[in-house]
Amino acid sequence: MILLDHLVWLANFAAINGYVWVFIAGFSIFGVGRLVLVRRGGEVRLDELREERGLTFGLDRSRPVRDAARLLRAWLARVSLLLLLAAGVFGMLGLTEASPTYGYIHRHGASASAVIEDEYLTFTASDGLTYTLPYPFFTTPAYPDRRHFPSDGPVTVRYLESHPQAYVVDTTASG
Amino acid sequence: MIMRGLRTILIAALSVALLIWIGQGLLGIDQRGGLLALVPGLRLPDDLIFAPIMIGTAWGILLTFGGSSWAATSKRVSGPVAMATLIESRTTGLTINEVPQFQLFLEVHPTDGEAYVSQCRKLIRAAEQRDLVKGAPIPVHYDLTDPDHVTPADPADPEVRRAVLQWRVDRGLIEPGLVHARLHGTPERASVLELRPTGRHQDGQTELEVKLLVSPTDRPPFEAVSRAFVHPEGVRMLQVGSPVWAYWVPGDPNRVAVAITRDDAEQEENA
Repeated sequence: MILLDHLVWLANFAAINGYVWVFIAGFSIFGVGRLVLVRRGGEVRLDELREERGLTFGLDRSRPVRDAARLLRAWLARVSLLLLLAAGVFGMLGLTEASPTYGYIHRHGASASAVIEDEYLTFTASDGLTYTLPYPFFTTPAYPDRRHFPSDGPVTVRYLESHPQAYVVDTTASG
Repeated sequence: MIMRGLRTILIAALSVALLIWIGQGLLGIDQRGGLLALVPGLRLPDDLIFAPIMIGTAWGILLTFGGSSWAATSKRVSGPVAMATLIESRTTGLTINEVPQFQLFLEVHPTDGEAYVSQCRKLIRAAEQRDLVKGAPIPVHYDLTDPDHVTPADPADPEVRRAVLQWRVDRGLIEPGLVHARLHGTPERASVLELRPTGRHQDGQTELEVKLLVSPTDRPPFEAVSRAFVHPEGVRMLQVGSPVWAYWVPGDPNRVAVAITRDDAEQEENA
């Protein structure tokens, strides 16, 4: 379950910042997608032809570095595309009050009493640290009553013990 | 080049800002103040809560519209002229005004070094695409410090013409006996009287035996026989009655080299 905790922690970050991630994903997916799809065959073919013809001028010039950079760039683009897609999806779920991460945190999280003040929520987790986290208006993490937005004052939160940054306001206990 | 560097720096800066924001959101313990909380003593006004949206959107737009496009990857090289021969060609998928762009892989033969393989991108009209055969000569600008790129040279440029002519001499496309007349002779107007293919082919060109009526400005006209390798495009310019240019050293009517245009005129088609 620890692995799932980590994944929920990451997905919940996208959900709780839904507005930001929908914008970022929407504006960058085409650019990153093009980086993934673009044919970089030209440089490879050039090296192949040089080898075939035995004309090595320009061939061994910092080639391992260039190959490594090319490979790194390609994988970075692929991973970024995947992450951006996922962040866009979870951001959208967060905005439409349908994020599955809230339910998970509510079920598996530890309970603590918190105070909401000025769009920030403060609570002391079991690790002894006092966390001050954003309490966003548009993607308020409230569960199970997702439409219940407690404003300033004391509430009860549930948070993942491995990552207290992933929290929800427990509406059954907060009244 | 400067724009490109600027863009890279901007993308990198925005990426770093985004990564800091993500790191802070995932790991921060006191997240009050947002991104600017990293600067000690600074408190973020509430309206700036949308800063990550701005940064992320700018980042996405730069990646989408500012990245290297097909056209931008054809780097311009300005260096001396050399002849290159085509190894292979392929379309890049880009067309401009319905003219497709090709990626050409070339074997470059610099005058001051050994041959090497390079590549360039060029827009090539449908009519010229049949010239894209293996071994086709293409004059290019090259730069030995950047062997991965060459730039196709403008055939109307006198320097390029000299390089093409020298290449023709070196390849034997001009009869050894006529080289002196072709390189150092004076051009005179001439007309084609007779024409006969010799049956020899080289580098995609056919050899023709041409009987010319040369009309020097200060002498009576005389007849001369010459030979020339002609590009298939050039054959239609070299028909009976066609006006051409004859290069000869005055006083030696047995050695006359024929050319479709003068070296100092526009659009030379060497013959």
